[in-house]
Amino acid sequence: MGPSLRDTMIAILALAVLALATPPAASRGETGALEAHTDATSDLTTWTWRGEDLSLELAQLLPDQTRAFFQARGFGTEHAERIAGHCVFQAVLRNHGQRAAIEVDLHDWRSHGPEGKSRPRPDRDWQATGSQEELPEAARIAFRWALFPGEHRFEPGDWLMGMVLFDHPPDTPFDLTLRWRMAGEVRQARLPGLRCADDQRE
Amino acid sequence: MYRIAAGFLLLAISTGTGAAGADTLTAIEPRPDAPPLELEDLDGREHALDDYHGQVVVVNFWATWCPPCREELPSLQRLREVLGPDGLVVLGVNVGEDADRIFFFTADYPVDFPLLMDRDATAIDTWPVRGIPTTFVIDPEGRIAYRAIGAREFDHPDILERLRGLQRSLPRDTPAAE
Repeated sequence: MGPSLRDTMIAILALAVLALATPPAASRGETGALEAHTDATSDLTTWTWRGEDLSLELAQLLPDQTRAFFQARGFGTEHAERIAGHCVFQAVLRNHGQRAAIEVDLHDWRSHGPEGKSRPRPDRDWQATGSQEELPEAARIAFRWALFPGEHRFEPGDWLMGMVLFDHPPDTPFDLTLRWRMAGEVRQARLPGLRCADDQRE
Repeated sequence: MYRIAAGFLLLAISTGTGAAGADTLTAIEPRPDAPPLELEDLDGREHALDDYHGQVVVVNFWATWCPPCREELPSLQRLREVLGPDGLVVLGVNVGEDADRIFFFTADYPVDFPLLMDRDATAIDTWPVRGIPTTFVIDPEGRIAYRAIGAREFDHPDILERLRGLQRSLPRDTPAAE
């Protein structure tokens, strides 16, 4: 191994160590810790990011889970399939701090996948498409309230759970940039290495 | 199928209220008048928020498919048992489901406070709600005094103390609930 190659390898190793030691990229002084836990039984992964005031859990949902949930609430096969074809997570967002309200707008979030940047599909985006006009009323209501709200204000102690849909196929890896507003200041954090559930794994 | 069921179970387990936020209510100042609420319960009996003027009313918007809603229901029942005799009223407003589904659900989650049915979700649209569960505490004057977004332990001592504080503001001639 020549010296130049060895130097290159050392540099790569140093960068790798530095990357591992650095918390998820953040701005406005927002740092946090990202943990991933894969359930041994379901083989599904939940990522938990915890910042100073905001925390976010993203739990993978299988297309079969999404399909089953909506079919049980009156969706026909075609409509349920349309939703289940997305990359779906069950999200839990909390303002666990004591300092100020947090304002979240999912339109400001960005996922960075192999196809480039996109954003989640909040509830009102779906309503705007008119794709639900043929659905029974109960199904439309369940869909609206099961999805994580597009915009919301979380006072200290507030939290909500809801589905977040991304326009990625199953098993797609992506990074997610969160943005929120607190005390008049926009904050953001990047969660690297997320992945949509893979329907093919057994 | 087993994997799907395990996934749902994992989600249900992982969404506990935990310590953070279990005891918090957001005070709303100044207190706005609560929107009207007139709905039938499972027995077809009409309830109107105005009927409870002079009492503290806890209005909880929920659905059977919502894990945090299910989680906090028993604490709402305990709240009713503790403060109900002193006049506090709990109203559960189910969003978008029919009586049969709610009835079967109560076999696993028994409550004895009224469960009102907002079948077409028109009532919830008149309240400042963007996600469920959301709970409002209405003061004896019919105004929104507190709000909680997400599940809470409603019989937590700190929450009970706040609600007792509202009850102490009851007019003296207000009768206690049944």
